[in-house]
Amino acid sequence: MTTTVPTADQLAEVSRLAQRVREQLDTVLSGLDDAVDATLATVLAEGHLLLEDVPGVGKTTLARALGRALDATVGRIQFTPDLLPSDVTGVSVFRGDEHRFEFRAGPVFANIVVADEINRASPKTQAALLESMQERSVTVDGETRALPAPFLVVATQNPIDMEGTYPLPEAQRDRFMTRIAVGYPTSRDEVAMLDAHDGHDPLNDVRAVASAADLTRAIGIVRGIYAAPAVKQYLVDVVRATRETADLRLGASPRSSLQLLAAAKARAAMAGRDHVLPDDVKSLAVPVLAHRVIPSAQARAAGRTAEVVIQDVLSRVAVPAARAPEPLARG
Amino acid sequence: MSAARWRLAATPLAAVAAGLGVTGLSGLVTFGAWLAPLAAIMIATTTVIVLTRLATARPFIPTLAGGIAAAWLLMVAYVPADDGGIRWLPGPGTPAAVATIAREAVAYAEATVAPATVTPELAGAIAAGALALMLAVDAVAVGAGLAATSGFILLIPWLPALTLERKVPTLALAGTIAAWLGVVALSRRSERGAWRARAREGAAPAPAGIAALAIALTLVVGLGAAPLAIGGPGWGQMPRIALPASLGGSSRLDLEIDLRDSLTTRSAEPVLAYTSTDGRLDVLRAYSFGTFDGTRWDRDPEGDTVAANGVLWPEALASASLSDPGTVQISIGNLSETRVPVPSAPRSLAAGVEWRYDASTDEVLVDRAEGTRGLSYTVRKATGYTTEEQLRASDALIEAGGDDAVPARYLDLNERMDIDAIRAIAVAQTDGAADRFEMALRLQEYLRGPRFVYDTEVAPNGDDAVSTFLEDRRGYCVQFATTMVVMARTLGIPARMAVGFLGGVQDGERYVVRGRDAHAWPELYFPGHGWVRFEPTPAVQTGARPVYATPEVSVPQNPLVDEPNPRSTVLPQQQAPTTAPAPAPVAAASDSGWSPWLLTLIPVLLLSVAGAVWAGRRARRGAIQDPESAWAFLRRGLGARAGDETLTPAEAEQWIVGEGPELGDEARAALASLRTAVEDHRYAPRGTEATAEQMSLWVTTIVDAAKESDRGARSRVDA
Repeated sequence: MTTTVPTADQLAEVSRLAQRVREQLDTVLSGLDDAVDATLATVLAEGHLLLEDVPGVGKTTLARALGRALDATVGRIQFTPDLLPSDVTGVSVFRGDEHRFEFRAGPVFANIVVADEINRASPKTQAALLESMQERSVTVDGETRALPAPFLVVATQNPIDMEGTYPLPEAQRDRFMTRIAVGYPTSRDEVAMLDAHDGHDPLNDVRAVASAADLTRAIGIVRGIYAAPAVKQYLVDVVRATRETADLRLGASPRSSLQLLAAAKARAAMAGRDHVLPDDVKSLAVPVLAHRVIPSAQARAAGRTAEVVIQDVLSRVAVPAARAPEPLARG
Repeated sequence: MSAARWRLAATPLAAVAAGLGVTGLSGLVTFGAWLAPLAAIMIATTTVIVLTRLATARPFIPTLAGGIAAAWLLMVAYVPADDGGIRWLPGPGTPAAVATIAREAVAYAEATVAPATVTPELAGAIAAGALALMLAVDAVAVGAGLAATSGFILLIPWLPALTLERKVPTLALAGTIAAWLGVVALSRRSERGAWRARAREGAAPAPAGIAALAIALTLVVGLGAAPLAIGGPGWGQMPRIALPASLGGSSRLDLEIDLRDSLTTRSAEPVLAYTSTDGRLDVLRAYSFGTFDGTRWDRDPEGDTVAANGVLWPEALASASLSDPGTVQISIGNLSETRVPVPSAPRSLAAGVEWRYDASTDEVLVDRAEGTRGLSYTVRKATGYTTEEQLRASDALIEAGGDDAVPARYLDLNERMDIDAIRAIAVAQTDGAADRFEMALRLQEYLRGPRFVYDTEVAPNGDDAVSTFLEDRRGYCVQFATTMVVMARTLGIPARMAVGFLGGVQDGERYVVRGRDAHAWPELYFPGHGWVRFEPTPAVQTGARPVYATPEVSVPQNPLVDEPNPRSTVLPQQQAPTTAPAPAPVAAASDSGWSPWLLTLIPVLLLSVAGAVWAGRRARRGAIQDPESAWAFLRRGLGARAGDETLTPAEAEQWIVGEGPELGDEARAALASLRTAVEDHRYAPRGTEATAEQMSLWVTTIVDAAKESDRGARSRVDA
C-alpha cells in the first residue's frame, strides 16, 4: 500500500471526478448534498453504503443514479422474503450438451450492486450478500470467484413497516461503511423534483462520467491521503468516547475507526486536500458511526437517537492542537 | 479595503483637535495670512493619512506616510531653494537651510515681544511644531488607539495660553476638546468587547507598554518641545509685568518706584485698548520721573501747564514734518490715573473732558475725580518723528548749550551713588562714540546685552541700587531704565525716566494693554528734537528696540546670529537705515539654550519611538510565534469561544464569521489564510509555509477589523 502523499494533480483528479459524479446525481436528486457527499466519500473509500429511510425519498433513485453515473456494471437485487442466496450469488447449471456445469453469475457480480430493501430477505440470503461484501469474493460449489473491482454495495432499508422483515443485526450493519438517512426534501427541492420528473424519468438523463478504472485509480489516490497523528488521535478519541458514554449500550468498533478514517481520507481528497482534517472526521462521524452503536435504554427513553448521541460526543471531544511529527524539510 | 472605519473617522478629528491648538498661540503671535499655508499642509497631510489608512490596516504606517508628506510639504512651503525659488526636492544643502531657518526663527522669537508678527521663519517653525503635534496625536490616538492619552499631547499648545495668558480663545479650545472627545468616543466604541476580552486574558502587555511609552513621550515633548515649537526660550518669560502695576481694585500704576522692590504683581486685567493707524504702538507714556536718590524715584514737580488747546509737545515737534499724522483712538478701562497715557510724538488730543498739558514733564493731566477711568480720546501723532539723522543733527545744538533748555535736575546725581564707578563703566562702554546718539545707543546695547538678565526678583540691599544692579546684573525694567538714566547723566546727557505701558496685544482690530504691560523706560534729551526714548530692558520683556535706536547689526546679544541677516528685514522696526558704527559687540555669551536642548531632545524622541516600536513588535511577536499561538491569540482576542477546544479551526472560523464581529473581505481573507496555516501546521504532512510576520499581519488585520466592528463591541459569547 502506497504511503506517498498524493500530488496536487492526483488530488485534482479525485476532486474533479467527485464533482462530475455529484453533478450527475444532482440532476436526479436535489437538495441531498450531504447524502451525496457521504455517498461519494463511501464510494471513494471502498466502503458499502446503507441507505435507510422511509419509502419514497429517493434511496433507490440515488443508488441507481450512482450506478449510471459510474460507467460500471450494475447489478440490482430486489430483496424479497423468498429470495435465495443463489439468486444473489449465482448458480451452477448443468449443460447437458457439454456435459459440464456452467456457473451463471448472480447480480452480485457487478461493480455496483443495488440491494433494494435488504431487510425483506431472509437472514440466510442477507448473509450471502454480506459475506460477499466482506470477502469481495463468492464461493459457489466449492469454487471461489473474485468479485469485480471496484465493488460497491448500495443497500436500501426501510425502517418502518417492519412486519415480515428481518432487520439487519448490529453485527451485520457494521459491514456497511456508512448509513445515510436521505430525509425529506425541502419544499423547494420537492418542487424541483416534480419539475425534473415532469414527463420523463430523469434517471435516463444521467450520463456515465467515470469509468471503473477512473474509480479504481481514485480509490488508490485516496488511500495515500495523509492523516496526521493529531487527527488519528482525535478520531480514536471520538470512537472511544462512544464506548464510554452512558448513552450508548454498544459503542463503535475498532473496525469503525478504520472505516471512519478511510471515509475521512476520501472526503479530504474530494476537497483537494492531501491531508485529513478533524472537520472530515466530524462531518462523517454520524454516517459512519451512528448505525453501529446501540443507544442505551435511558437514552432511548429520553428520545436520544444514536445520531444525537454521536453529535453530543463530538461536541465534547477536544480537537488536539499538538503538532504532529516535525516535518523533515521545513524552510 | 476594510481599514478600520473608526480610524478613518478619527483621523481628521484628531487633526482638527491638533490644528486648533495653533489658536492656543494667539497670545504669542499675531494671526494672519501665514495660517493659510499651514492649514493647507495640515489638510494635505490628513488626506495622505486617511488615504493610507484606506489602503492598509497597519496602525502606524499611515502616520509615517503623513510624516513624510508633511516633511516634504513643509520643505516646499518654508525652505526656499538656494536661488530663492521653491525647493521641490531635498538636496545636500537642505539641512543647512533648515538649520538657518530654525536659528532665525529662534532669534526672532527671542528678539520680539508678544504678540509677534509672524515672519516666514517663525511660521515655518510653528508649522513644523503643529505638524509634529498632529502626527503625534494621530499616532497615539488613532494608531495606538490611545485616544484619551492623546489629550496630554493636545494640551501642549494650550499650555502657554492657559498658564501665562489665562485667556484662551474659548471656542477654539472647546472645539479641540470636542474633537478629542469625538476621537475618544470613536475609539471607545470599538474598544469595548473584543479588546476587553483580550485584556482579561492577560494578553494586553502591548497596549500597556505603548501607553507607558506614550506618556513618557508626552512628557518629553511637553517639557522639551513646546517652547521650541513656540519659538524659543524667550517666550516663556514674556508676559510679565514691567512695573508695579495695579493695586487691586481699580488699576493704578504704582508710582512709588523703589529699585529695591521686587516685581510681584502681574495683572492680566486689561487697562486700556486702542486702535491705531500706525499698527502697534511702542509705548503709551503717562508719567515723568526726574529725581533719583539712589534707590527711589520721585515724580517731577508739576510745572506750568497750558490749558487744553489741542497741541502737545509744541516746541519739540515744531520742526517735524506732520504731513503724515497717525491717529490713535484710546479707550481706558479700569485704570485710574491722573495722567493720560499718550503715544510717543503726540500732536493733538481730543477728549470729551478738560485736560492740561505740562510742557516741562510732557505729561497730560486730566482733572477728574475718577482720573482717566473710562476715558476715551483720540490722539494724533507724528509718524516717524524721531530719526537717526535728526538725533545726530542735535549735536551742533549741544555745543551751543542746547541742554540748558531743560531743568538742571535732569543731570542731578545723588551722592549716595558711587558716581565715579558708574561713570567709569559708562565711559568705557561709550568709548569712541562720535556723538550723543551713539553714546545712548551703546548704553542701551550694553544693558540689553547678554550680561544682564531680566528678573523680577531683585536683592533689596544698599543705598546705591544702580551700583548693585551693575554688579548683580539682574533686574526688571525699572533697574534697566534707571541705570541707563544714571549712566547718561554721568556722561552729561540730560535724562529722565518715563512710566507708562507697552503697546499690548492685538485682539482683532484693537490692541489690548493689560496691567502687566506697565513699563518704565529712559528718555534722553536731544536739543532741538526733544526727549527720546531708549529701550535698555531686554527684548524678552520689551521686544524690539525703537526704530531709531536699532544698531545696524541686529540683535547683537544673540550669539546665534553672527552675521547681518538679509531676512531680518521682516523685523518691522528695523527698516530705518543707519550709518552708525555698530556698538562694540558684546563678548560671546553662553548659548541661549536651544541647541543643546535640541541635541538631547532629538535622541530622546528617537529612542522613545524606537522603544515603542520595539515594545509593540515584541509584544506581538511574543504572542505570535507559530500558528498555534497566533490562533490562540486571535481566538482570545475575538472571544471566539476561546475555551472551546472541541472546535476545529474551520468551525472556529465559521463561528467568527457568523457570530463574531463583523469582518470585511480583507479580514475574512486574512482569517481564512490564518485558519489554513493552522490546519496545515497541525494536520498537513509538510506543515505550513506561513511566516510569523504573515501571521502577525493577518492577526492585525482581523483584530483591527473586529475592533471597528460595532457587532464586535456587543457580541460577547464567552463572557
